[in-house]
This record gives sequence, structure tokens and C-alpha cells, in this order.
Amino acid sequence: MIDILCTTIVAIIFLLAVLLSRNKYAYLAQLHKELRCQYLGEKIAKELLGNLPKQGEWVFIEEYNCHWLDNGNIQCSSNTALSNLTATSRILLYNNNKIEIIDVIVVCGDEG
Amino acid sequence: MKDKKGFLVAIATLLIAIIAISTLHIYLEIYIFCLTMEEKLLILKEVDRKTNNIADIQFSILSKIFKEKIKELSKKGLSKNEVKKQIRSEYIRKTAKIWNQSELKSYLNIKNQSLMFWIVNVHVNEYRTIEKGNTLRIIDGKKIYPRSICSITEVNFSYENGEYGVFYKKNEVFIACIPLRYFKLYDIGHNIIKKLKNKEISNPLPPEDFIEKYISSISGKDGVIVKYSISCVPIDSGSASYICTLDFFLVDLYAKNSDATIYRVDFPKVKFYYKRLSKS
Repeated sequence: MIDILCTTIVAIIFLLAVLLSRNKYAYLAQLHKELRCQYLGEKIAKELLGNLPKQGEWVFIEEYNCHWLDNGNIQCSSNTALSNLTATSRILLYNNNKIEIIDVIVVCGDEG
Repeated sequence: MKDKKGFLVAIATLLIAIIAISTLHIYLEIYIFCLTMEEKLLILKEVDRKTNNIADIQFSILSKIFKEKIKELSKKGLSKNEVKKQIRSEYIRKTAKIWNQSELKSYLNIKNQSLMFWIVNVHVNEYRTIEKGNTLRIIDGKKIYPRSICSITEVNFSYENGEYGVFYKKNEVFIACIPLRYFKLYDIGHNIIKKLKNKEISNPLPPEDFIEKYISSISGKDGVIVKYSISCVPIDSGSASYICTLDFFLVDLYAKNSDATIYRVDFPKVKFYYKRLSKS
């Protein structure tokens, strides 16, 4: 009788531990996704420094196509970019003695 | 006996549960550790990317100032020290003006710590050899030659974030060159000035012929051509003594052939006295 009781208690404790860890794991998994998206954003922003698209043109970097938005920023997205996770990296452009700050918005795909 | 077996089973189950939960927690701890590392790496990536961005802007500022200043100063034939002084002060002034903008301060702020950079040196020098790894940009014409004029700047970058345990230091040297052999032309031009300025020259040749002979002994050597015009006025009517003014500039053929837009150095007009001696 005691073995069933102990096993049940241990099983309940185990289940509780797993359930409590699940939230933590979900949070960490989300954080991981965000980090990977930011990492991708950094990589694309770095590539863009020497390879900026002209107005109305597209540039492909890491399977992401980047183009200018009407508000003067750049958006990069891929065909598989189904998630709404975005990463924003800022780059500076030097033109005619002036510095412009450009936001590079990367819409991450499932891989993000 | 039965209770003893049950007790053993319970202990075994408990051990298995402890091992399973520990494994789960170890996995989570490893996961957290990996994420922390990734976060550090991400900060370093951002710092490195911003450093490259800033370095590129600094190089553009230097290139622009260097070209503009040489274009302006070559029309006055100014000395090496003056050229160096003006380029340095303009570069420092413009850099400070640009980076003091408040909106750029937020760009330099990464995870509550500021990415810092400072200009260590600004030199203006002749091109001899460029060390491997230095960033060299030819900003006028297609090619540079020995004794071409270059502007060299050294920028140091530093980022320290104790909270994340991220430390970054980088040193960049930028060299912007134009094919014009400014200092060589400057030396030749100032030797001409030194020889003539306010001097009294006595010679049987007419002053124009004397200058032509003198200039042709210099012009054409090592890709440097002297272009000039001379005007002489007799001191008294009918006198053999003249006050002459020589207006000249030097052309660097290497720079010109390299399609450079700045290929000549102009010098101030030189006044000298000339006495034509009679042949007898």
C-alpha cells in the first residue's frame, strides 16, 4: 500500500515540477526566438552598410529582401516570414555633411 | 516483507523523479547559460557593427576634408605644417560637430553603456609604404605614386559593460590619398621663389630669355612641369634695369595622367629686380 502512496506523491511532485518548468521553458524559448531575430537583424544591418538598396530597388540579403519604406526606413522580410516578430537595428548614413539615422526593420520568419 | 519491497519501490521512484527533475533543471540552466552567451554575442555583434559604421563615417569625413583642403591650399602653395594644421583642425571640428548631436548619443548607447571612440592622431604625409591591414582609399584619380600626399588618422574604439561582462576594444587606421605629390612640388616651387624673390639679377640675356632658360632647367624632370608668365617693367624709361613679376604654377604629370582633379600647385607671385648687362 505504501509503495502506491509514495509513487503517487512522487508522481504529483514530478508533474508539478514539470508544469512549473514549462512556463520557464516557454519564456526561454520565446527569448531565444527574439535573440535569434535580433541576431539576424544585426547580420542584415551589417551587410546593408556596404550594400544599400536604391530607392524603389530591392536588395537580397540572407534570403531576405530589403527595400525602402515611405518613412525613410528599410524593411527586410522573406517569403516565409509568417511570424510577427521584428528586430530593429539602426544604421547611420553620411550624406552631404549630414548624418541620417535609418531604422532597419527585419520581419523574422519561422526560423527567427 | 511486502512493506519493505514497497518502500524500496517508493525510494526508487523518488530517486528517478529527483534525477528527472534535476536533469530538467540542468537542461534549463544550460539553456539559460546558452542564452546569456548568445546575448553577450549579440551585444558584441552590435558594438562591432556600429564601430564599422562609425569608422566608415569618420573615413568619409576625413576623405572629404582632405580633398577639399588640398584643393583650396594648393592654390596658395602653403607649407606642409600649414596644410597639416588646417586639415587636422577641420577634421576635429567637423567630427565634434557631427557626434555632439543628441540623436546620435542614443545610437552610441548599447545596453545602457556608451560606445566610445576618440581620434588618436591625424597626420598628413607622403605615401611611402602602407602597412597591411590599414584601410587605404584613393580619393582622387585612379592611382597613387611614391610621394603622393596622404592623410592618416587613427581612431580608437572602446566599449565596456560590466553588467553583461562584455569588453570591446578596437584600433583603426585610415589612409586617404590623392596622387598629387604636393610636398615635392612645394619644394620645387619654393626653391624658385627663394632664388628670385627680391633678388637683383644681372645677366646679358633679356629677362624673359633668362627666366625661360632657368625654368626649362627645372621643368619636365620627374613628371613635374612649370607653367609661368613673366612681366617686366623698366625702372626708368630706356633703362636696362627692370622690375619683374613671375607668376607660376607646377603641374604634376603623374597626377594629371591618373585623371586626378587636383594636379597642380599654384605659388604666390615673385617680384625680382633684373639688370641686363651689355655684351661688351
